Amino acid sequence: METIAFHSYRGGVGKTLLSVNTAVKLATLEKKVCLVDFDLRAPSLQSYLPSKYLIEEPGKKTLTEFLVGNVEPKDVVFSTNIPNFNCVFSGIEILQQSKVRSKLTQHGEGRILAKLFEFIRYCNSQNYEFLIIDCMPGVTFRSLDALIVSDKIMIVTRPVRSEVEGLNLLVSECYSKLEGVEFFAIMNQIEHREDIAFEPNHMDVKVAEENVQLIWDTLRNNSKSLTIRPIYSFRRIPFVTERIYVLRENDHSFSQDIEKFCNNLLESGILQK
Amino acid sequence: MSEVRGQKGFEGPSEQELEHYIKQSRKSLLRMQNGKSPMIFRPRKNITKIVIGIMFLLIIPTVVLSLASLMSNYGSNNNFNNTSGITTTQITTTQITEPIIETTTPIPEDFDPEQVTKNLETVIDEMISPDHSIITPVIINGSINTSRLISDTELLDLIWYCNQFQKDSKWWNIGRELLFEKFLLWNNSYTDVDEYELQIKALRTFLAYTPEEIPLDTYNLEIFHNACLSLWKRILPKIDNLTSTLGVSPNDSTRLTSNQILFIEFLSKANEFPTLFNVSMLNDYAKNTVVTLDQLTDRTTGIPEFFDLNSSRSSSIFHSREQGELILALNCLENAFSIGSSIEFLIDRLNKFITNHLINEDWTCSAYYNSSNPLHQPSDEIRASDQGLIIRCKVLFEHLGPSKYIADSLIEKLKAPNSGFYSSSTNLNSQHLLDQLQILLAFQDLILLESMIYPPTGETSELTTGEEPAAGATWETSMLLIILSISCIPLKRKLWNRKRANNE
Repeated sequence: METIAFHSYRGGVGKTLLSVNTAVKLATLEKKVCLVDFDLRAPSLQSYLPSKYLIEEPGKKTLTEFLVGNVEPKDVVFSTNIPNFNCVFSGIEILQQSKVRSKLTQHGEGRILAKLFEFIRYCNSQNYEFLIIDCMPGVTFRSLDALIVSDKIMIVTRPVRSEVEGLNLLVSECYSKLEGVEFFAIMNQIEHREDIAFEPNHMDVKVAEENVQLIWDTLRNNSKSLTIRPIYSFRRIPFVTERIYVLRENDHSFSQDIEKFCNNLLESGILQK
Repeated sequence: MSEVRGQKGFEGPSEQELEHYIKQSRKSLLRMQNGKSPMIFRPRKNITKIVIGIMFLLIIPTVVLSLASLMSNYGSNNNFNNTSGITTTQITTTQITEPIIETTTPIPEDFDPEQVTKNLETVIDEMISPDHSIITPVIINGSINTSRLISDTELLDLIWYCNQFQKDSKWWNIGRELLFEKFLLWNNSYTDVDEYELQIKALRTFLAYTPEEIPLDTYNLEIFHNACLSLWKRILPKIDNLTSTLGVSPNDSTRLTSNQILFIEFLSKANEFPTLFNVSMLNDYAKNTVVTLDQLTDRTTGIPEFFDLNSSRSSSIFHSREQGELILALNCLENAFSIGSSIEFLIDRLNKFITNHLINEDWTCSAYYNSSNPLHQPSDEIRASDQGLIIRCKVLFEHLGPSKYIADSLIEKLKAPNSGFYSSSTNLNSQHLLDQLQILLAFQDLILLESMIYPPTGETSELTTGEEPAAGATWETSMLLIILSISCIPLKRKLWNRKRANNE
């Protein structure tokens, strides 16, 4: 089983959209996939996977409860009506409890990491081929836990100037210290002229193009001690909503992008076929 | 910078914490992957001055009372060794055999911290005064023998061990003084001899203190640098570029293991002197050394006593000391160079070997094993200093439990009448300063680990600075001070828990 984390410097770059659609796409390609919402601060997987996708099973719990309580790993994995696809939700309500909050938000003394490892071991025993973790953005103790247990990290970024500084910090302070992990960069939300009804200001277009170049350069030049492979640029989706595009909208440009992206991952050997 | 770390309530690590967290997490992950229980590690925080104050208040009166008791016993009975043995037993039994949390030490009401501090300093100063020179400290049958002269090799080791104490602490400073003020060892012509072990040992020791810590004027510094470079030029042709093993003469193949350890120690220090050495070359040597050791180290039996000239195993004997020294040296190498996970695996492998050979319940590790016996029948004796070495190795892995058990076992042996001093298999009654230093180092590391695992709150401190018992003359007193320091840890923890409970 391969563990793949989707991580970013800031929120709002499209990690969840990309991770959910990638996970489901891989599942439709007959890969057994488990998707984990590890954004404990602002979980949003439930918006993508409402109850209509879930097979009702009594006694199901959230990942948050597993991490801080006495819940079995099998109790947090939800079965879905999407073949080969299971998912794990984070519970935001439980975070309101001060004791849980302090356990989850602070250092954790290695206990949360141990629970996460226990969960990965369980997934391994269930013969999943891919475990996809939708991480919390930035560098918190919890996002570090997810990155440390992962085999591959997909760094999701978007072409704005503030990402340059953020990625610099991420690489130098965090990624460069992680060993035995492969890094890949995904550029999301690239603007295309044909997606907008008006003629854009040529200066805006120039800056946007420069930003893309600047970010690629940043990842290439800053990461002397590690290799970050740029693997895909996703087109910006106008009027994007939180849903699984790849299920029933195969003609949608985003679904096509995801399909190409997944094929790239499998064909190039980044993910095991 | 703060933007990237932490997210609305979720704590982000500081720059230093981040590295520590990742390192500890990786170790824990490795353990779990090997089917072991996860490691519980706490944030790296330092002890507060307040807690030091509390510890100071607790330690000093006990020390005074115990010293008074010792003096009185000494006055009435010249059998100092036996008396101190008994006294130490009485004091330590409570801490070792009773449940730790129940231990209490009474604080006298008429306690005068300033006077006590003064008394304590006088005792320590006396220990390292010219009459009780630290150069000739051999204790035989419980009394100090100052007639024996220390050899260059011992002196080089002495400075090396001193350097490993906390920076700016008493022993750390003694090492620096010995090297740069009293003996000026770099003026010796080590280059004239054909003994690479001595040369690499000398060079390693010369580089023990970082450039900022060397108290030499420009002129002397230049002489010092030239001496280092001359030694390096002498040693360099003897290093195998592929394996980074140090060349040995045909009659000297047994030295390979110890030479490797010395070479690793040199590499980890040379990195601090980029003006003297080619750092990229050092980095290559470091990588090659790790690869070689990886190949030479057996997965189940560790590293044997010696190899033949083709770097093949030619010994069926495995010394616990070599394994331990190698772990400590590799750890320094890991901190100095970015070699990657291979070094961690190697350290872990050597650690497993030692762990496997810690005798159940007794928690001592024997001096050597014979691979021809599948059970690795241990030898009868283990040097006290070797046990100290193993405590340090376990501390390195933050295994407080095993370290404490080994320490308890060591204390039990040291406090036993007439046997407390033995360290050498040839002379059970002699205790050399180097051995004492090894044990002091072990206890220092143990205390530091305690303070790291049970940290009160932030701010800086040097736990052992100026408070380490000198081991020069009276071993009993040194041990007493250490044991008392350790005995206060549960108290510290208890006080801290109480304070936290009150706050809640």
